[in-house]
Amino acid sequence: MATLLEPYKRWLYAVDIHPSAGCVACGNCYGRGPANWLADEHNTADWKCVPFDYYGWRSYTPSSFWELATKYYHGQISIDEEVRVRLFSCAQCGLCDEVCGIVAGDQRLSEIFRVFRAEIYERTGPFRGLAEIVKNVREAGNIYGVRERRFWGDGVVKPVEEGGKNEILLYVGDTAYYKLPQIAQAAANVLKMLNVGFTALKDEPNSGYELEMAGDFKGAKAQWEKVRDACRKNGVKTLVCLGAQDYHVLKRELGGEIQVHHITTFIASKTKPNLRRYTGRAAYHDPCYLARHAGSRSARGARVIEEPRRILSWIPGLEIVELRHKGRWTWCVGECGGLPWSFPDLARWRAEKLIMEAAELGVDKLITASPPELLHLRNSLGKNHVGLEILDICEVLADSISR
Amino acid sequence: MSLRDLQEGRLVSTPPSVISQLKTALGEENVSTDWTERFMYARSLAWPFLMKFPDVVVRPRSPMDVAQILRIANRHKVPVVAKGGIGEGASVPLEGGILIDLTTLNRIEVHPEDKVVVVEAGASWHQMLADLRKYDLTVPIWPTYESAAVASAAFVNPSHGYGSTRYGVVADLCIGAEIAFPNGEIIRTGALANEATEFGVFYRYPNGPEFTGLWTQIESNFGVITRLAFKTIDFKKEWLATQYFTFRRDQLDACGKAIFKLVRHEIFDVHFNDRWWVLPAIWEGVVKDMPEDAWFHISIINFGRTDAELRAQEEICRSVMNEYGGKENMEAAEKLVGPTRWRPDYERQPAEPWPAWNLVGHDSWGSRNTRNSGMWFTTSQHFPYRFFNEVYEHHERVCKEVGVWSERYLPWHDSFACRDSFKTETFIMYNPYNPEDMKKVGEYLRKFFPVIVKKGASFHGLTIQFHGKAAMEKLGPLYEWMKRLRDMVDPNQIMNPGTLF
Repeated sequence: MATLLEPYKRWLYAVDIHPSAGCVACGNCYGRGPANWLADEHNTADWKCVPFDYYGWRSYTPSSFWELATKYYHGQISIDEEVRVRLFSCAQCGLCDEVCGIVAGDQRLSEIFRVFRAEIYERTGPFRGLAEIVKNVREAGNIYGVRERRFWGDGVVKPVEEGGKNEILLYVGDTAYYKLPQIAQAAANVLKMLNVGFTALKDEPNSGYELEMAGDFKGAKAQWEKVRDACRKNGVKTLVCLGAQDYHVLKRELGGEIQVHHITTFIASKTKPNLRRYTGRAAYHDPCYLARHAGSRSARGARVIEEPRRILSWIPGLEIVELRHKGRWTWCVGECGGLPWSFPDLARWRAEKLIMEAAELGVDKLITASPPELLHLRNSLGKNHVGLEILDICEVLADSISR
Repeated sequence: MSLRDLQEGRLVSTPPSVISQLKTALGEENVSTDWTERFMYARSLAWPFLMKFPDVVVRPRSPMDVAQILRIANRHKVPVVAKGGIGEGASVPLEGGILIDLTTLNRIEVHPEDKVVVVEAGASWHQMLADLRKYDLTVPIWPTYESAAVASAAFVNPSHGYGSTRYGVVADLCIGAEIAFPNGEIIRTGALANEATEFGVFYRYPNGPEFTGLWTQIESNFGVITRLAFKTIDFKKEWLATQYFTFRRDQLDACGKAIFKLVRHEIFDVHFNDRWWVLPAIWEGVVKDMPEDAWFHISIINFGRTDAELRAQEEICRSVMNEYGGKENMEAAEKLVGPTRWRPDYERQPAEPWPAWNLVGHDSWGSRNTRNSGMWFTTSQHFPYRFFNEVYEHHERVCKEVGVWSERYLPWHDSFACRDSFKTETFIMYNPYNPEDMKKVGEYLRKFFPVIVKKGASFHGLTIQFHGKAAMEKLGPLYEWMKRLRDMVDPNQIMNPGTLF
């Protein structure tokens, strides 16, 4: 049977190649202890997998997702509702890539699950609420299904003009475009203050990340090709993304042709500007797609961890307190992998855990660097922590730039 | 039952009334009959071909829940097996029935004032060690299995680990146990029997005969362990330092003698591997400076609370290894085990720290060897040091006979020089989906075990389905006495049937 998993068979105990490996059932990806009890900084993954943390059953673990993919590859099981539920409960946060070191080279463990989801999608169609995303992107061009587009940058940024100077393009993504335009505007203001000449697309295409998570690989490819074509058409050489997930997908797919930056890596490459004093204690939360994926197909291939901290350290008076789950061991907030659409309770629970962790640190601000994650955190903010302000790094920077 | 049968919901022998009683007792959310759950809990590290599925998986939230589960199972004569985080074959439910996931019993209480740690049965051994580090304490046996390995399995097997050269096996450091029996009764033994007194949990021998040792190697027979107590010692990782020596293939005898001498010197840990084990690290360029003729690999962990103590231990090891012709290799010590001397920046290097501690993490031998060869098939046995050569040669002979003495199968030794015995694990890497490989593994199993069973080996995670009934029958009248004890506490023989009796 032809399967999308074929390119990954080296990790599915394929018998026609050697070496060929797979899960050995060691349990490290779900065991309720640190992966390496003797290490300090490298190893704070005491709770490791988003769905396993929530359900506590062993079928909701990377080991299970891997084993189900392997059994499916060998024709020993078929796709049924249990298989669908398990695979789509994976947040694609990539923490298993940090814990398990078996899959190496140009592939990573979580990618096998992503591809198995595509196989499931092809054979059985979209899963739960992800169907809405697929429909919205197909019909309206964005995940929210907004048909009447209002350019977020009116009066703030010059839209791309054919034949104009478009070398640097700010790509804001669906969430900043349609739900949180103030973050897109803040990012634009920061770039202007840094004297960066840039433009933005009025008809910005969706990046394809959410379609990829839904398993619609063909749809996802069509989306990032639209971004690529827009860049080619307008002579864009550098793409600066606000969203961590968009950054990952666009860097991974277009990185060979266009320089793809996350807003934090782009700003960090500039000279430190003069900034206004900003009082307060804040925690910075590393988005999974910056700390663990970052545009790379391989585990540990790329990380954006230091740059956001460097930028925040520029702001006088801002005290940054580190969360326990930080850097490569950052905690997925439940926004990755389409979870808010497919498992809303799980997604909210996870966000609440992070909010609790930040609140316990006694900070008044939780800063992150990806609008979809920020929106999910704000939506999940309970009554108990109304004192905690959740901000995007661009909002904080824009507020600190001396006028 | 095939996996396809399982997926299609066939063949559940546990009566629905039992499943509903379990749901009433534990809550619906703690009982699962999903086929994916029954499949996942049937899996075991290193024994993936032994697939027997439970009918129902349950999660206790307290020792009292375990007692309730056993009472229900006993009333209806339904088989029960308890499983920790991984499974090494003994927790495969041979006759279906109820599988208890112990990992929800994971409380850890450190009592630094008495240097004691009390854990629930499913507490991760790694988490316990991490918690103890907050108090600069440790239970000085560090099994190399992963974070999923739990305290009760480490006790029952009984597990060895780094530290076993000086301290023996995990059960040697256990000072008390709590166990639930099929009739729903819970008893505490050793130091835990003293728990309700003002002095509390502090000493294994509280008065009268001490029963804690009775529950080692029970493999879910008799009852289910629910809590354990261990003695701890002072510990900081800065007190560790590693060494590494190699020997040629013609130095097998000298290598064995050198190891035994270090055991008598009470070095913290001495570990034995052969060239097959290190080949993937050479292929991947992790170690570059390895002599072509290096066949046997001895890694040593020293544990000294002062620099002078560490230096003295290092000198002892070096002198013994030199005496028997071993060659020191600092690069291999650093790249494959841990720092030769602690330095503050050690964990800030690009590679994962303490590679030997993190079995399937990045830069660890477990990951490297798996991706270069396949699934593990492991045997695990204790024997006296004087049989070191014989067991090695036996393994090599069997591997050659069955056709796995090659880089394709990496048939290596991974052995712990324990305080009271040499504990060797033999590995063959194979593809569990390749019928040829499966045939070879089966043949290895049939040829390797009977010889060492006959000689009197003791096994880690013993069960008669793997090791044969002879492994238990060698005990003579004691085996008969065990059966009588089993009949007394488990008259319906519901506890993991087919594994010990």
